[in-house]
Amino acid sequence: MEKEIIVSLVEKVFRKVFGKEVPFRPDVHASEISGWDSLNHVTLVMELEKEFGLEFDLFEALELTGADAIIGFIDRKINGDGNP
Amino acid sequence: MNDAEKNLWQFYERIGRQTGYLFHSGSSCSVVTAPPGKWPAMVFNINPGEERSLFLEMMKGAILKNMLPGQFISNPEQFGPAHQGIMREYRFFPVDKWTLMEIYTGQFNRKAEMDKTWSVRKITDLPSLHEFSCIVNAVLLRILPVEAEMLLKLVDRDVSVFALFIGKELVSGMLVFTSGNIAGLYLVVTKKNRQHAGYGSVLLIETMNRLKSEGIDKIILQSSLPALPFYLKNGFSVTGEMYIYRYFV
Repeated sequence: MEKEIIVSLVEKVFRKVFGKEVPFRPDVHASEISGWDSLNHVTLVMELEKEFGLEFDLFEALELTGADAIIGFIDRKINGDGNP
Repeated sequence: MNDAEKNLWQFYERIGRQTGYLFHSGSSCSVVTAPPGKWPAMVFNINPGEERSLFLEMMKGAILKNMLPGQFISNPEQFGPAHQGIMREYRFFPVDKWTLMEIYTGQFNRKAEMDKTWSVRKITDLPSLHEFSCIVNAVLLRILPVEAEMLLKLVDRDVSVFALFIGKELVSGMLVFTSGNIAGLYLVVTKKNRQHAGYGSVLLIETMNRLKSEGIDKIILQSSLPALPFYLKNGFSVTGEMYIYRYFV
């Protein structure tokens, strides 16, 4: 899956969880989004799992506190990390 | 059980017994709650036994009947990354990670650089405790706020609230719970618009020096992920970790 598509789908999930007006950027951090607290973070992870058909390691997911970390995580999960 | 975990259990127990809010200690877990929607509401000191599924089944049933708060705290040996399959099955998800940290006061030898308009002191009056609780609720406990009246009930020989004032403005604060010669730091916070200016470090250093002079040998705390660099910079070392889990319907 191309990274642009991943970014687009992540944005779609962000708007679903945090509202249509959320100031999404591929590098937006949790501290910039009102409502991105620990409870909504779990909801975000569950919605991302549904959207991408993936299962996150729930403990690694705790540390994904920015869109760039989330996008990178999903990219590696789907496309691999490039290492043989 | 390390000292940071033990101090936390003792602190929760203290809150429950001192404030008259619900406190229960059983063979599989302990529970402390404040009025509905208020801090703290936690199931702790859990002992799931070998059949973790039975424990989670019990928790889930009790939560759905409003007999237990919807969250519990555990070290990773009881419930951790190795158990996420069964936790996911019962709809318990990790929502936070606390890093357990400690510092021996004998190894601590720093002085805070303070302006003459600054002061660090214990606060025991309701208006100051209210100001402190407002900062705590705005910065830390947005979902489960703490009440100043509860802090007023708690403050005693072994529970203190230290605050850094710039003039008359309360800028940073923390709650200290001592048990024997160990002190635990809780609700460590700086006002949002005063962060990243060194005030938290000043409060920490001054408070640690006072605790040292009062005979405290070791200071422990449970750090959130964002605060970890702050404590490492101030000399704390990592001793373990704990996770907060919440039931999601």
